[in-house]
Amino acid sequence: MNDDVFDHILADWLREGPDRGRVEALDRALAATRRTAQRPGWRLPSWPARRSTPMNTYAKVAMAAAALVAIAVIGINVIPRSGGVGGSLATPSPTPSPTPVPTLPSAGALAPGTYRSDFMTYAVPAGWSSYQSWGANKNDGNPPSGMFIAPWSNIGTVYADPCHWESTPVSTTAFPTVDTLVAALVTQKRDATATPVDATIDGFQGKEIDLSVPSNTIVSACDGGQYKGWTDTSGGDRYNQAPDQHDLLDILDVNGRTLVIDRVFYPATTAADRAELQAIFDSIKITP
Amino acid sequence: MTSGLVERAQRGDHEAFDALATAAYHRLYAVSRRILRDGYAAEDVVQETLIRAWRDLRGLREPERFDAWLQRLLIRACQDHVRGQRRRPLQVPVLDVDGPVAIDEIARLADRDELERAFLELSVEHRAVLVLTHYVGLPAPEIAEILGIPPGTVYSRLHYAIRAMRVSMTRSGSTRGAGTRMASPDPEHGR
Repeated sequence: MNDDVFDHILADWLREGPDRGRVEALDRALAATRRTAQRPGWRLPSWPARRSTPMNTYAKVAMAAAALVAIAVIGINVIPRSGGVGGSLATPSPTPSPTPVPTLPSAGALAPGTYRSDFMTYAVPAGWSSYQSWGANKNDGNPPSGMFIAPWSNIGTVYADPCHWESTPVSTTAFPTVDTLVAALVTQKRDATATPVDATIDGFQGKEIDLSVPSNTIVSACDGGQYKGWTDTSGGDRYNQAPDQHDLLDILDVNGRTLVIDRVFYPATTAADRAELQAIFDSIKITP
Repeated sequence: MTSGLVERAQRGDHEAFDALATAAYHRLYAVSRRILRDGYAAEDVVQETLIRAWRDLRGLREPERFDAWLQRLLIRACQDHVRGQRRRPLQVPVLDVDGPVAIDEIARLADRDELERAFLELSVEHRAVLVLTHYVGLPAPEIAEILGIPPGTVYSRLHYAIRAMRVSMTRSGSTRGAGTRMASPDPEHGR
């Protein structure tokens, strides 16, 4: 028997049997969906490319205590001092108090100014928005031309094939050095192998690599409908939004910690917008 | 039309999702029943598929790909079902035979039994490719999109599945079938 005959036999056999399910089974299935909550989508809100981890009570208390200590230190440092050897007895002129850099708000449009995001501060122009106090975006960061900038301080898992990430985790522990993280990222399955180049940001050295989503990627067909490059140790995921999206990563050694600055854009991002992103990047101060 | 319903369902509109699910239901059932060879299991898998679809719908970036996405969820649910069954006692699938079986049907039933057994020896991934190709009639690129694999992998799975079934049936001594004999598979002359 040749293959065509076998194909016919197989097709005939597959056509046997009912091809309509019972209506009561459909009703039961629909009723089950009514008892099921929808998961928040990554388009709603606009750029949830990373899961947020709720801050626990201890962390809030610790942050509040740290803030009090910081205020106290600032207070001590700005109290005018007088006297001392050779010191002037004249009344000192008021010294301007340093203004603490505000942390990115949880959401919403940002007033132009300088903001803190994890281990760094940077200046944003008008037209940018905050995402989960973690990153800043323009045009929601979404295709075709959105942009995003965000820090990653504890990447723990890199996926060898970001489209089939469920079966390809490379590591489950934080990458200890710039080189080990870079090595894992450059070997990911992508259209082209990223070439790391030396980078220095605010005096800290590291590597810069440009990772992009392969052009023929059907994101919805990837594992879980997500193209996922990495996950941090707190469970935050970097999953991409569309083919050809770029993640321009600067991976830095900051006092022994491997910290990453992620700039996201698309080929259709305008030159003017790219210049804005570059200006933000150029304003970065590392404050671990 | 479908995209509009998908977008409404993404915003939590149950009626829109019901319309989508109802339109897809019989197709999902027919495919899963053929992959699993069990009507009750197919109903369970379709229910699981619809629950997952509703739960994760907001993550679907391209509403126009809803049908392909739904079929992918179905194949995954079939995989999960079979994985779960491996931890349970073996269940013998029941042939769909209505009414008394005539004597002259015995030979044909024997062949169907051999087909059934050989088919169930395949992985769900291979069964899915066979069903989507020979039952649904989809071309390889569309199957590739549903399964999230390259078209070349679809062809190789198809080739492997056919060869494996023929090897299995030949090994078991089944040489009947529409008055022809099953030839030994020849891996050097695949399709």
